[in-house]
Amino acid sequence: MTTAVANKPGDVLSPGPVPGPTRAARSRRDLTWLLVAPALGVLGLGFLLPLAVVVYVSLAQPDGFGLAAYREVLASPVFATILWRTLMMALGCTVIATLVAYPFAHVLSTRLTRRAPLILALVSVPYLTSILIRSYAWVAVLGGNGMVNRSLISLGLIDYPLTLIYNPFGSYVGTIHIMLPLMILPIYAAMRRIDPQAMRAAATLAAGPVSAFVTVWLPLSLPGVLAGALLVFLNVLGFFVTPALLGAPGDYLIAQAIEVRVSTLGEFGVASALSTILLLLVGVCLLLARNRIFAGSSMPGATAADHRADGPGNGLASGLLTRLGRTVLRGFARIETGLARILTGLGLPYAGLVLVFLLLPMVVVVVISFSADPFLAFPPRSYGLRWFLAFFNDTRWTSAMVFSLTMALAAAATAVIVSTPFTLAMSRSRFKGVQAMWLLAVAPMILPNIVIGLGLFFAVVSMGLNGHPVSFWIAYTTIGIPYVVVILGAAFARFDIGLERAAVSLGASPMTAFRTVTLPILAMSFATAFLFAFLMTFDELIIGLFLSSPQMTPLPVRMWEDINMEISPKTAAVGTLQLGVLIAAMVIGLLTKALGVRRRRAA
Amino acid sequence: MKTTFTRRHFLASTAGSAIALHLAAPAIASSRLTGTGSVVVHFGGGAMGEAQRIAFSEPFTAETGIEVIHQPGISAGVQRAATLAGAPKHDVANISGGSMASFTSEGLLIPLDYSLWEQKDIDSFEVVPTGTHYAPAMLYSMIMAYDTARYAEAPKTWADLWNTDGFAGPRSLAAGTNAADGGTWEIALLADGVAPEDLYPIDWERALASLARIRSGIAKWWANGAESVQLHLDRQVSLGSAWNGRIDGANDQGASIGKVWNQAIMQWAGWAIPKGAQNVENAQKYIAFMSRPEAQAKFSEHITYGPTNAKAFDFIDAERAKLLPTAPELRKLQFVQNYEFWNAVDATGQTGLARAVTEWEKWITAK
Repeated sequence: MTTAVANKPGDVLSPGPVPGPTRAARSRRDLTWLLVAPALGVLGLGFLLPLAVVVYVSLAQPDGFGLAAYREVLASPVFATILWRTLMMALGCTVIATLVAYPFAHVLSTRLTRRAPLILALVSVPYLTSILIRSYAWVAVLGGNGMVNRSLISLGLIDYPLTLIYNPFGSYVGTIHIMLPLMILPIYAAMRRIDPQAMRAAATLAAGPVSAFVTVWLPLSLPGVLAGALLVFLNVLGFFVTPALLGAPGDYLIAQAIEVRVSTLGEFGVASALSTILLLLVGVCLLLARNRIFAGSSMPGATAADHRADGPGNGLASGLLTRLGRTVLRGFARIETGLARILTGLGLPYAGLVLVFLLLPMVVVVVISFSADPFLAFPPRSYGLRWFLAFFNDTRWTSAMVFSLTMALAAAATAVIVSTPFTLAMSRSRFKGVQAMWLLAVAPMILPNIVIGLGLFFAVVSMGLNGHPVSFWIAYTTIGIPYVVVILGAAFARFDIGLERAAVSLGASPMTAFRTVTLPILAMSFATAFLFAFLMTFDELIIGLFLSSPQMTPLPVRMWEDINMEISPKTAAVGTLQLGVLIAAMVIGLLTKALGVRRRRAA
Repeated sequence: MKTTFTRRHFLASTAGSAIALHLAAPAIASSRLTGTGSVVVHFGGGAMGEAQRIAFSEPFTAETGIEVIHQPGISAGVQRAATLAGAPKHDVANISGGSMASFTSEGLLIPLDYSLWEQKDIDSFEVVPTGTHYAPAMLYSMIMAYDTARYAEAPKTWADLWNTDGFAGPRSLAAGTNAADGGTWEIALLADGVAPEDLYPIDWERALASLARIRSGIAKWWANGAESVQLHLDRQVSLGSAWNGRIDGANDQGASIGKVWNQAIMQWAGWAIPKGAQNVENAQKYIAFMSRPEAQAKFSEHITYGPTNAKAFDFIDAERAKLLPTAPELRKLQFVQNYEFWNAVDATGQTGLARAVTEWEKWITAK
């Protein structure tokens, strides 16, 4: 089996003798196409086709075609303002999330390695409940009747509640809470791959702990930071529910302007034009940024081996950081050790604080799920299993849960399967179309889901797939792909291809080498990629609203049906059940691992 | 109105014969709505969904043998997209009065078969008459909600929401992007002293000038109905606009949110059959069933939305009737929202709905 496959995709990795440069180049290009084809197929159906529909709609006019919708958008100073504010919000959230996540990931990867799997699972917990109840949990914590205000009032410090939400603070807290996992996991994955020997080597070369960190650790973890930053930035662009629920009365973001036009007005022309402009603008910025900042860290075409040789300092960002760090630290050389000691001491309490921040709303959700009250109140006035029973007694809800689980698992698996060769081809071949392809793969994250949903729905109906599970499979795989490509891209960029070549030179087939050498080393990144693809699709509401039918209604749509009318504790019960499933899966995983170890020892 | 009736009678005579043929076959001929198969209907979820299940769907299935499949309701835009694509989400859709006109004028709906109705029911749709393409489903009101624990004396008019000295505390109104459904534009003008009969066409500038005076007192422009009530439950706001049914729903469960009916805006939503629906015949029957006064009365027992068939009051307990927006004492305090204005195209080439969004975006982003 392995040998049969070995001649196909693996060949691009093979350093074996080749007859001539021209033929080799051609066969490499063919193989590259083979590697990227499956992902392109999915993106073609799930993204390009809907995008074509959207562009068509943006140009369509009662009397033929024209640019009226674009003129309307570009002529309006309002859209420029909204777009600017959206970009600033995205940038602000990215910066804050980076600053919060980096030290956390550092502590996790250096001092809590044994507990890391558990902690990382907890980190992804914020995604386990509907976005509306997640926001409500913040109201319960920060609101007028919330924990913070209650404590202050009972302490006699204030008479009437402080305003901690419905202002920019609330908006940022809610947004960063949801974005942090996207930042923490890629950074952690990058840090785990840093060879401890590198730090030891720096120490033996008489570098102080802080300068060793700045010159060795920081540049080596940079691909993870960039991957996380990209995920957060693009996500916030298309984000509006949380800022709308927790933000200031005047907050109004681009995704909201698009949503109002599609949902309330049913006016698709301007919404489509707005989305197309957003896509173009962000796309161009990304390509420019990728050329300049990403150079040397995860730029497609530059192989990992190349920048191993060049040293970590060839990218603009990493170069600047290194140089800046060196200059600053030369002056601090003496106090370095002391500083490092203080920072190390703060590490664990800091990690604890971040975890509390991430988990606090989920604790609120769990408490609410055991409420026996008819409506949302925190703390509940009475407790019981009322809302769990309501869930299990309603087959529409249980079948929605099963449908969502099935589709999200299938889509996440597919996204990882098609994106792995795709990302591999991009990181290892000097192929011209690579940049455009990378952009295509992350673009589904830029376009708000309501626009993808709109285009996709028309495409699905025209293909005769309306009401068929395949439509969900394509849609979910498409929205999962950007996460997998960004996370694996960062992983492959720093992977030492020499290890794989060594295996091949020792007689392993390229496929075996990939399976036995590359996969285990990058296991953390694969797990992260799969997890995000799963969580993002499991949580998806908007596309689900377009594609749902009586036979296939995903769980978020059922939750929305309820929430649309009243925010009931049932949604919290569903979140708690999901958390329970996650914890059960982890306990089983840990037990099997422990048993496996014992058995091996016994043998 | 006259043309409507001719069309109805025409439909009645043609569709009636088809029904007669159909009825010859099945065993239970007790109801002319008897049928087979299923019908996919809009489902409100929560309290409204419960009311709908108990009052309409379960008795409908018991009487007709037609299975009712409840599908979550969707926004007007998604509904429009689905119908345009030829694959509507429901056989029986629920469309707000504010969006109904555009669905009708675009030809996205199938005419209703009034031959399945009792003539006296057709005649009893008093507040909002039946249309060729839709049957008014329920009447509800955008009223003022207030914190009963905070104010010794109840507020009386929308102007009191603007009176931050007399009634201190954070406030809330619907975001202006909710256009007609949110009622904020009308409320701003009423608070500024405009009489209900002079509200239309909406004077956008005057409404925004009025909103500017209360802007700093608004804690939150609410985005959806669930949020409007949750803000009160969490005591995030002390005064605000909200739909009556949602306030009653919360109060039934132990909350004590005050209600002001004076100057309330009466609104409605209708049942309709989108073009491309799979089970048109069953959809016609389901809608006919919901027009009956007994069914509507039962619906209003479970949620305080007013029946559209006035005969329903014959079957509603007197105490309960007092809570409904169409109760005589409450009805006279309110006015019915002018959906014609909201759907008419103005000098800028936009409908009132689109204009509201444009004006709101300009205003809310300017600082």
